Amino acid sequence: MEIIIDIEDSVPLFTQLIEQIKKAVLRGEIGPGNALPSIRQLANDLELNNKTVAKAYRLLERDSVIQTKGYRGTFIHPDAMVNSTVDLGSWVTKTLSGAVTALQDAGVTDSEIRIAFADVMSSHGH
Amino acid sequence: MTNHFLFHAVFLGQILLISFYYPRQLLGKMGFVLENYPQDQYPRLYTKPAEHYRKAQKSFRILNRAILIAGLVLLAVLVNYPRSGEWDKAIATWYFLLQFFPFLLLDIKSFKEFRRMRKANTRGTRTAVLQRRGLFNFVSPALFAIAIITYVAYIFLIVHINQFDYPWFGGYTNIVAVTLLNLFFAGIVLWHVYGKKLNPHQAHEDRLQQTEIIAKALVFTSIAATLFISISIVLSALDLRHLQPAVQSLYFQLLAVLCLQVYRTDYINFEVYKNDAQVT
Repeated sequence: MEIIIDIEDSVPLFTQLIEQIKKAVLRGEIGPGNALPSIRQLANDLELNNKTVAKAYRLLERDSVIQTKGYRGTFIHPDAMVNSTVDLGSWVTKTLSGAVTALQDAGVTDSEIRIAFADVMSSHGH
Repeated sequence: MTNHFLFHAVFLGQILLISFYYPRQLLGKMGFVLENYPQDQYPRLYTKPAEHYRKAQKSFRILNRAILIAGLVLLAVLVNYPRSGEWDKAIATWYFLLQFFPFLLLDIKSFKEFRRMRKANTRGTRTAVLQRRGLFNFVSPALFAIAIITYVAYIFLIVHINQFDYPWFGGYTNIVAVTLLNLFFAGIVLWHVYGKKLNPHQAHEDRLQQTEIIAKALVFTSIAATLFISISIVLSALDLRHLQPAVQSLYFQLLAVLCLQVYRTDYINFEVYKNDAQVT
């Protein structure tokens, strides 16, 4: 299964990587238990920074699309097919836009929302 | 006299194999590629005008012919002058290094060519196959096990020989030397398995094939090097040192057979060197 990264695309490289791995799972080109290349191998093959591939793998692992088994490497998660349909990014956007709309309807200004958002984020340690 | 005759016969083989047969094969391959995959149809294969490659081909031919003639003259001189076996060993070694010089130059030129290819590569897309590579994709576990067993047997041999006080024996330095050599080979293999692609246009299958050829050649070279050093030590211990020059020359020929495998071109997919518009 071939991954194609467009370095001139406005979509971030790690996002392209995530999307293509999820698509490959959904198309059945890679299945549960299949081994994935190491971060270094994939970064070298795509001439990307190791950190970019590591970030994509970290987010895929968070979404339970892939799983890391210590020194044995990274594999496709048993529930990858179902989990690949979940798009946390669009869920975040949808949830936040609902909250922002509700706040704006209540008369809260944009700057107040931004300050409150920053406060909430910092209180969560991010 | 018989020992000298044996060495002369084997050394003639070294001269002809490395400075005549292999250069001829390689020049044939270069000519075939230049003829059958011309620059106008395969522009990505070349970063300079065709004349540049013909000139490189000519230089390689001249250099090898000069080394071949020098080798034959040297052999003619050796036939007529008696000398010690140590001289023969030194001659075989230095001449081997000289014989490898044109191939080394060719490799340096190839590296430079790949660098120019990478600079000229304006494609905005990069591809990779989502498949984990490992050593055993390229080298069978059995072959790897043989290399390990050879290395362990060599350590036992050194430990055994070290019990006797042979004045010529270097002791555990032999283990250090072979270990460093094997680590060097392992580094090259790992670099090819996991490292960056030198040729930006190379097809994935070609890369796998090339990696397999290099990995196998280096594992065989590791086994051959360990066996050669073991045989040299055993010959010395059995007071058969007069056979060493011939064994050494044979070893160099074996090294050439193994190392020059990397110049195979039969598996290359030349379609990737066409322009995008040409690729169907």
